[in-house]
Amino acid sequence: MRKALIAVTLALGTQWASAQSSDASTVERGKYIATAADCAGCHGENLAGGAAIASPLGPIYASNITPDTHTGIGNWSEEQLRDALRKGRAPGKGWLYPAMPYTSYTGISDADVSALYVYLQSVPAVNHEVRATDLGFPFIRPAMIAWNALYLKEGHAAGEKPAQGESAERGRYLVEALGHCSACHTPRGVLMAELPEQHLGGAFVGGWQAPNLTNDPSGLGSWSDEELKQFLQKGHNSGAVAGGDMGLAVSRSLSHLGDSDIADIIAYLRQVPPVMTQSLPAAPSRPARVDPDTVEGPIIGWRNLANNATTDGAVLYQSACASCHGVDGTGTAGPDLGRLRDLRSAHPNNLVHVIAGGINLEMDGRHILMPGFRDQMNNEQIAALARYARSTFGQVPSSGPDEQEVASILSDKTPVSWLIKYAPVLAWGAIVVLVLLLGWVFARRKV
Amino acid sequence: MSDYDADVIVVGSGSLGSMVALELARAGKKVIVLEAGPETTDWKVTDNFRNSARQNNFNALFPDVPYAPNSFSPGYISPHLDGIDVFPGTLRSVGGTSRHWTAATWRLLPEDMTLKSSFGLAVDWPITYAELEPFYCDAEYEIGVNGIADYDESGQGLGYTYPPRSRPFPLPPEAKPYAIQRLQQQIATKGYRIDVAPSSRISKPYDGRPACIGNNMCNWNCPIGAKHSGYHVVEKIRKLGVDLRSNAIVHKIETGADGQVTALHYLSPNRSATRLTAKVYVLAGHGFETPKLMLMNNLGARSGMVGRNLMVHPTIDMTLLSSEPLWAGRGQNIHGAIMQRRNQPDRTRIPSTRYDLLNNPPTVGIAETALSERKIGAALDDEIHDRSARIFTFEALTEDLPDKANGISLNPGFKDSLGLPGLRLDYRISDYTNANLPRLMDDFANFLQATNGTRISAPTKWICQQHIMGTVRMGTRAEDAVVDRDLRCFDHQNLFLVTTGVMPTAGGVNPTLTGMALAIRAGKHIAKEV
Repeated sequence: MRKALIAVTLALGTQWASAQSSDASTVERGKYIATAADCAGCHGENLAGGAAIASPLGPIYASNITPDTHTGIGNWSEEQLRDALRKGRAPGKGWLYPAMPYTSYTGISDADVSALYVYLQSVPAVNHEVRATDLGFPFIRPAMIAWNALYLKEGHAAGEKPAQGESAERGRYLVEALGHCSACHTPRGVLMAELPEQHLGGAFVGGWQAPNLTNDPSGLGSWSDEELKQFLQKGHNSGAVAGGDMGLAVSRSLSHLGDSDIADIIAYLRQVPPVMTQSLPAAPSRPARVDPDTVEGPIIGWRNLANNATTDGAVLYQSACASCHGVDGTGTAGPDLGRLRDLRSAHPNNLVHVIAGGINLEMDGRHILMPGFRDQMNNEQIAALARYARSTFGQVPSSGPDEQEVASILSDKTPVSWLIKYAPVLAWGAIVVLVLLLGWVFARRKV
Repeated sequence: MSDYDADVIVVGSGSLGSMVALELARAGKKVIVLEAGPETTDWKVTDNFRNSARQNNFNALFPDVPYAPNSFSPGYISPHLDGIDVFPGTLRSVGGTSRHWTAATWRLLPEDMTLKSSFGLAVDWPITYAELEPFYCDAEYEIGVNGIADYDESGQGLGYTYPPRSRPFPLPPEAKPYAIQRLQQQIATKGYRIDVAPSSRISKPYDGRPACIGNNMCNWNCPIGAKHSGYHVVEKIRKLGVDLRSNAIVHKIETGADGQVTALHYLSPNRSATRLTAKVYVLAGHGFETPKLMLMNNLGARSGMVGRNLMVHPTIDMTLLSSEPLWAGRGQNIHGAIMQRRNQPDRTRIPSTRYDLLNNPPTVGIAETALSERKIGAALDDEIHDRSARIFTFEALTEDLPDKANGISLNPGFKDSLGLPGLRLDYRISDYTNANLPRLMDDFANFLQATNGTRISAPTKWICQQHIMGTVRMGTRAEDAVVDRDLRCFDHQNLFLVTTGVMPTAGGVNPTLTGMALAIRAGKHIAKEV
């Protein structure tokens, strides 16, 4: 009897173990998908949500996607997760706002949705009630029915084009569906939908310039495969450093992808139809000639020692930057500034953001850190420093930015169309007109 | 209670003042910090450094303002010294004197806090090492300290972590510079061991600060913020909404009949006056300025100890020219230290001593000497190249004991631009300190022999560290101490003194980390009360 019991226990144990191991591999696969889709980018490292995603219409709060049954998705079926990803529709909320990039995620395969479901149900449940998003009239959730009818192509990630070859096909899936690159890198139209004709052609998000990713010389066409690979895996190459949200996307998501997936992404990016944008001046062929001795004479007297107010870009550079970037900008611990694309871009956005906020890129035991100078310089000084760096090290003929432009870049505001800006007024106006019209009709009928 | 301007007002924005403000701000308290000196941004200090003709003086890179003079302002301190040449330097600036500190972050040993019961000397602290230990950890994690765990810092070869620590160092140690490696090989023959000194010059990015890249100007002010300074904490408290006012010179403190502080007044450089009220007041103006404010307002008078018992870590050093290049100046200011004399049984007779291997870039001093020898042109270049490779300084930092006769008092003979007095400083080297000399000379002779060096500056005079301790000592009784174990004034229940001046004995190591630990502990304590 006892032996039999042991045998049964053993049998059950073995079965349980094998179910465990197949589950474990599904969980592992789901985790990889969650990483490639950078769920943590908005929902947080523990996936319990709460972060406010800045949108031009107001903050949209990322939901709790841990398996907590009260505040998370513990009660969701796989079907419901699939609907959220594919149709932008979630239990309890109804229609989602496209801050959740379901126009991209709609392209995620059935198998991957299943694995993602298993993974999301396996993470530690966190009881965390997230604030409800309230964008006000007319941006109410049911309004998304009309928007989706116009812009959501179920099963097809927004803007994706057919790709040639197996590698590029997989790359397309990673870039368009999971990676949702177009969410930042494609400009949006009057109703804030991505513009298909400028797919991945570059856009402005939160004061940052998300560059042109298409295979045009003004986009990634001028990057070598090696440069692309290094950037995606390490967050930097000789011409670029990933700052802001892109830095986070590299450290949380892209740097964890396998080599073959990175190769596939590159293969696809090579096939993205070119969108021509303003092209970048070439990197200077020789470094700037800077003699730090001529920057400033001796400082005598306490008033001069205490004067933090200079707006001389050369003085600011030699004091705040040269310790890492070198007196002539060619770099010591920091990169060679003349080679940085962001320094030569027609738009000073990323340069201004990096001067102000620094770089903090952490991945797999490697850590790239540049301190920001927002606490120690005002906008006028940041502007002066940016102008100096652009003209001296980038050697681009440029007058910008000025103090106002710096203020506007750092305000993190994304410009919106007039339609969105005046939508509440227009919508209420339309309702008033409608009511008046109806009243007029009824009045006429009575007569 | 809205009839107060703040929950807590902190006077002083240095390492300790900003730290106590940080604790309070994190607890959600409304805090005002008043700093007598001006604000000089880090990049501006780098600018001043590059353009300064006085790089031999760390203070000279910071504005020496007429309304908040510091120890280098002519006449501000009137020294009455006996047997010692230099007195401690202080800075009055947003971020405090730690703007140019060495960043040596030693902990005291448990015995350092029980001198009376362990060695029959001076007094015991009213708080034990074990009680302070968690706050040492907090301080280390706040500022980022590198060091080696599993390590006996008492130099007695104990073979286990001593003093004990409940959390490891937040950061790994820096690589050993060549000079330290080579000197270790050489002096090992004489039985000395060079240990690794903990430092808050960070070895990996930490808390938004980049790792050290060797700009070689640590002591003046790190140009990239890899070395901790009080200014980093100032940036943190500002983000938490603390109202920091620079150029605010506190001069008058009002008290009620029960001794409670009721208000505090400060002047602006243009003499306009402001009165502020809070539930609790904290004086964190260094070991000189804190007792000065107390004396100016006749506070804490019952003990008769305000301004007394000054301890400064008498120091004596020897500079040698090695027979081979050592390349001093690579690595943190003090990477190596000889700890064997720190906690020997004969501490009853001979002070606790630590030998620092000073690793400052030596070029400024070498150039000055060579110029004074009228070397110019190629001869000057040769001299700098040759000597900067071979020069090295050993420094002995020793523990001094509290003595009522040593201290600061008001010096009405000096008036700053606001009419406030200067300081008189009294310090006499004790027999206890001098009893150390025979052994120090033996050790120095051994270092010289082992390195096959030429002595270019002999250990002949006592100087001191920029460490100020004892001037508002803590204790258990109002009769012989100014503050209790929580740093609260015995005479004024809502007045706390957060300064290394509260240390009743000095130990044999740099006091700032201990001060920070005490500040964090006091901050948590005050947060519970307001």
